[in-house]
Amino acid sequence: MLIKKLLGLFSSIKLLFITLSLIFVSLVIGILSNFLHVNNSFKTIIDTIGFDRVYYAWWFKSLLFLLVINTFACSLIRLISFIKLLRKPEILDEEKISKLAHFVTIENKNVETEEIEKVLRENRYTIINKTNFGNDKNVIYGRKGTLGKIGFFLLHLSVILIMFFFAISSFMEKSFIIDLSLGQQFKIPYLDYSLKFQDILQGVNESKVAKVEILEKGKGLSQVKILPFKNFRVNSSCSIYCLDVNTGVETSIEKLNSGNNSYILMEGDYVFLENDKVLVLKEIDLDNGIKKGFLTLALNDKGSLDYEKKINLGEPLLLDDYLINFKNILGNVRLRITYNPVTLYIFASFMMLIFGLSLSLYVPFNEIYVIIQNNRVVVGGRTNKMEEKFEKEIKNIKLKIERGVNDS
Amino acid sequence: MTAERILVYLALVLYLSGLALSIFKLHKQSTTFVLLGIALQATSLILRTIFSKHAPFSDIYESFNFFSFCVIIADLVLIKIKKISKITLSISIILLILSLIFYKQPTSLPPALNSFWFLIHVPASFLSYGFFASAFSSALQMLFSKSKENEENLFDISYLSVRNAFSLLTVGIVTGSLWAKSAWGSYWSWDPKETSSLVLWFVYLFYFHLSNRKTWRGKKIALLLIFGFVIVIFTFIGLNFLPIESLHRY
Repeated sequence: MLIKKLLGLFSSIKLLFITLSLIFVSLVIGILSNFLHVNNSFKTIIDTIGFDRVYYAWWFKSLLFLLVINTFACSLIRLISFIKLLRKPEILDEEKISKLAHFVTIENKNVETEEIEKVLRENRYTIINKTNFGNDKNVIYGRKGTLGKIGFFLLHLSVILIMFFFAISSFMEKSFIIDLSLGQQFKIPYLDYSLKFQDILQGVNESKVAKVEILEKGKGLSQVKILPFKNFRVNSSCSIYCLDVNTGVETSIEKLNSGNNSYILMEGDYVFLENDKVLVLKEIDLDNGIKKGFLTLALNDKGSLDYEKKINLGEPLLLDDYLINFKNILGNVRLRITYNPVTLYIFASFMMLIFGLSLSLYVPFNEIYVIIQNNRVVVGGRTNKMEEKFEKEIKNIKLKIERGVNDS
Repeated sequence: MTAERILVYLALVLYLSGLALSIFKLHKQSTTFVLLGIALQATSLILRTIFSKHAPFSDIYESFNFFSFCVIIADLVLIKIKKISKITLSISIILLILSLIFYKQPTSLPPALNSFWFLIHVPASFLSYGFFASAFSSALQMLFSKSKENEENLFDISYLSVRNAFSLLTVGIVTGSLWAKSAWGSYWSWDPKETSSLVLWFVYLFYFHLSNRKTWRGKKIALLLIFGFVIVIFTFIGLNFLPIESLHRY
């Protein structure tokens, strides 16, 4: 009962509308607040609420979460209604039929249900349900274009699946960045594949291009990839993105009387040291055959640079408590490896979304309800497509019923 | 001045002439001018592709030019050239003027955009914006329409526009998400452009849920479509010119 109530609450289109409006208004205020350079109380209030960094505010994240829940519930409720419709179509009463977009009544006409069925069949409707409620009250439910309704089903199912797989993906996905030096081999965790950085080639416009081999355990060479900022798949669950191909510097940073760490740094890379210090490798200069590194040391997290020094290969540099040493310069490729076993399912759900949307928007699905009671006929219906055309069809059905009655 | 830029200027002159002729009810002549303008703009896009060696929608100039082209093509597809709307033509002209203001020399494609998804994600998004512009035009006419029949006719056109636009926007969002996954490592990063595209998607999702309700037909639905187009403009242009961080900056 509680679940039903919650589902009813969260599947409300009104709630969805309110949530979306709040998100939109927050975004607009958040963006406009960047222009408010006045130091007044209004600006202080905006900053306190968090409009200045709206994407990071807890209430904005809550709104997004509500949107997700709302969308999920809306899709779920429509799926349930579709399944119910397949099993046993809902018979609407006159009050509900009169609220449908298309609704006509025929007064003071005595008509048989068979005649109505005939008219509906002439309009290519399939009679799904025919119920006699006694007191001469008969209700007929017909529909056509089931493919459109299947599209509607697939669309809502895909929304649920996308959310479901996204949630699983956030738990199961493992992503890490590796640096491979020229000739180095790396075994991909969870998989029987290894990567080998085989060669560094000259690309267009002085860019560098890495040649990486993918080796499968027991089978040998599987693929060769030339990588300038490209993504490629090792298999359906593992993809690799080439973040950079360049010269790297093998660097050791030793804190006196403490441990020693080794890094491969590329231009622009930085290492956080203690006391808010950041070591930045600003430039690697290979001119005149002299291998030099251009070091920049920032002293705080605001990034203000107050120390710059060029140091040569093998030349140690003592900075406060740190001994920094450029040990080697080598060709380097930086790869981001992502392992996600549900990638394929997410992709399939996305495709289902597009397919379902196309079917539900481009293939018509019409439902029609007819109530026959006490010399009165009520015809109501709904469609997912071209309202005008359907309106004409309803009027045409009305005319046919009237004519049929007159003929008899 | 490059040949492709000259063609854009000529297309602009032809569109402006077409608009002026249409205002003076010289529809046949207006149609001829607009058609010639479309041909010149298409040629300019082809030349840009040849000069830059990539699809013509990577920088701000190309984006405005391509958007302008998509707006007019969307209208052409939907309501046939003889009835091309003055509002749509005006939007296309404004975008073309903006493209010339922000003109940039052709450059090679940035490595980040060198992807198969670029060829699907960007045109799908721009075409969807084009169809939304067409729906906006119909909605604006609906607001000032005096005859019920005309209003219903405009509603049908706007419905067809939104239907195409929504499908293309969905393709744009989905392919963008897949591209983001491969390039940035995440399907969705709540980038301002992503968020406003999602809001846009939901607004038009509303449209579909509300358009078949009696109480929402006519002026109410027209206002929703106008609101939707404001978000389209905000998503496309607004975010580009505001001082906010975005991965989608040109």
